[in-house]
Amino acid sequence: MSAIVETVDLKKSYAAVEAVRGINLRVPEHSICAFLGQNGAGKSTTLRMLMGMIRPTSGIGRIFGFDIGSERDSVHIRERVAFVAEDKRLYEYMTVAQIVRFTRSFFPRWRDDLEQSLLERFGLPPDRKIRKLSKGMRTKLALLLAFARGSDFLILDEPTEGENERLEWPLSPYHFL
Amino acid sequence: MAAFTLSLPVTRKRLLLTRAAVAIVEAFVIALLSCLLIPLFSPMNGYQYPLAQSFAFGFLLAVGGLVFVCFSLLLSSLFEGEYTAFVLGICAIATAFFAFKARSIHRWSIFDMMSGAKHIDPNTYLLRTLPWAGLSISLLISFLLLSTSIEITRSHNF
Repeated sequence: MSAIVETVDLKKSYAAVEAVRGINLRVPEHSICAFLGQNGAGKSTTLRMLMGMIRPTSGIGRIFGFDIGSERDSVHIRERVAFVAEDKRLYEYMTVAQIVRFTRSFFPRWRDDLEQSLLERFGLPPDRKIRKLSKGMRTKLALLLAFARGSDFLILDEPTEGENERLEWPLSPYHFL
Repeated sequence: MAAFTLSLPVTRKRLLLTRAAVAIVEAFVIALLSCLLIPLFSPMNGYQYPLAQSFAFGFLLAVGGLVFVCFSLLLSSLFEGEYTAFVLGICAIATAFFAFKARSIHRWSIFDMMSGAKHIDPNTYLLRTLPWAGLSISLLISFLLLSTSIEITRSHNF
């Protein structure tokens, strides 16, 4: 089975601090992969490198064949891979409907059906400002914004933070990390 | 920048240029609108103030203001904290304001360029000419500051 994610000796350092020390990873197609480690082990840093959000110090990484160390490829990666970060800050001044519209404009394969069903299922009020949403509601909104992108692959970093309910996610069409 | 923004399929260079474009447009709108208030309210006191003069002063404010806008962008690309760039920017501008009072560098004062102080007719209090040299230098400095911000952002990450 071919791999969606492949890394070879991937490293990230911040000055003298080694955040990630040579990770070798292979995630095959049609799989769900959990990524476990202690606090400060470098999980979030690795995920951000895979998303092309931060530049690796050394090593090789590819998602869907795109080089995570290339600026141009990093844009293609983010077109095809949705990410829910540990840091779920969204634009406080926007309403739910506005941020959905804003995010949709970046993704030609946006899933309107999924957007509508998740808005209802999560009970997100379209006219409410994000600054007035609870932490749990923000988490649900971040998940909606990731799921509805119509991406081929999802990377979720502590996706249920602040969420007490059991969420039934629309898992079927996606690969997960 | 928030992780949500960075997860969008755009480069940081494009994000920075978009922020810069919005900030520059806002600076021009604020400068020009505030200057329009003078000709608007002058008739209430029985005076007339030329609209062209008002636009000229607004233009000086906007172009001089570009230096501060681009300086703020540079600070925000250098420092991560939410308020760090803002606080440092205010401190730097306050320091510059008082430093330009010194006689040795007073002729280089950007604040004088923005107010057109050296180009005002003392009899009519109207602008005689625009300070083209000051305007050109301001534009050049703004361009250099913005280019440096882009390079810093690109060298850190995508």
